[in-house]
Amino acid sequence: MSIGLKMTKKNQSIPFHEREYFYDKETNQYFPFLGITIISNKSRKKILALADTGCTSCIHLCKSYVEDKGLILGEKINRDPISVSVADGHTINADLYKATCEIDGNEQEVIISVIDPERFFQEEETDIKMVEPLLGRGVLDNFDVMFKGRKKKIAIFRSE
Amino acid sequence: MTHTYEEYDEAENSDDILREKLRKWGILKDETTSSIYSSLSEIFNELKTKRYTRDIFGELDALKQKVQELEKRVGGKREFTKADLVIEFKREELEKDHFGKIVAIDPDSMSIVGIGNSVLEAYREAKEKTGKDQFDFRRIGYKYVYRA
Repeated sequence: MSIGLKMTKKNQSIPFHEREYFYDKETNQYFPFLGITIISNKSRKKILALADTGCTSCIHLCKSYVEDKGLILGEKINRDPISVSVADGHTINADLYKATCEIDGNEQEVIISVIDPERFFQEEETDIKMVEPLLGRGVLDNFDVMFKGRKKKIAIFRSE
Repeated sequence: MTHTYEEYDEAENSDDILREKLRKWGILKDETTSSIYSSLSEIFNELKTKRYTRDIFGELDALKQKVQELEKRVGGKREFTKADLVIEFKREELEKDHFGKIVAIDPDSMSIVGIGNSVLEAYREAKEKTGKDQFDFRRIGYKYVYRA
């Protein structure tokens, strides 16, 4: 029993997923991207998504990205489009899909929001054409996430 | 005292003398002003030619088209849906008890069928209650469901 507990604690101290920050030469900046597999009834596809604590969705995608990658996202659960407030202040239409995502063997049911920048509500036209996939709080809150700023690494641990 | 046209001496009222009188009264400033007027009329005449007018109208048409496109896409504000009506009807009660939570609304029965801290929670509850697959979602107290 005590050995089991020790092993659990040991497992918790080792990240089950660790990845170096992605370096963007153009902007000379580092970004914490994580590899996630999106699983729906018909397909499994691995994508890189930016760990974004400012995003309240589980996984946030852009319609053009979904089309480019040919992602199959599972079942759509909304009837009318829902509103998503994006960082530049615009409110954009989105559709929601229920799918499963997997990070290094850890599967969980998630809601994927897919924005369509062509359909916006505010008075100004948005400049958004393509957004990198975002891994939001809906997923991150299920784990212990460590941003190793100096080492330029992101590590995910099973939550205690 | 009135004068007839014949009473005026043509020599006294020649263009030069009239111009001189106008300048003296301060109506006609100097030769520069009149030269500006003449060059302005030249520019105006040039603008009236087809070449210029076609460009201006072309630009206007392009602008009108752009405005129409934007009007179609923006459509002013979001259309008021059945889900909005449900929320509006129960706003006070919902904001008091469930501020910040997600509600799933069945637009057919116009009722709230699921409440949760996330869309997934609200969806699961709604699906269990109704057996349906699609709902409308709203975050209580906010104009948006998600922030990205």
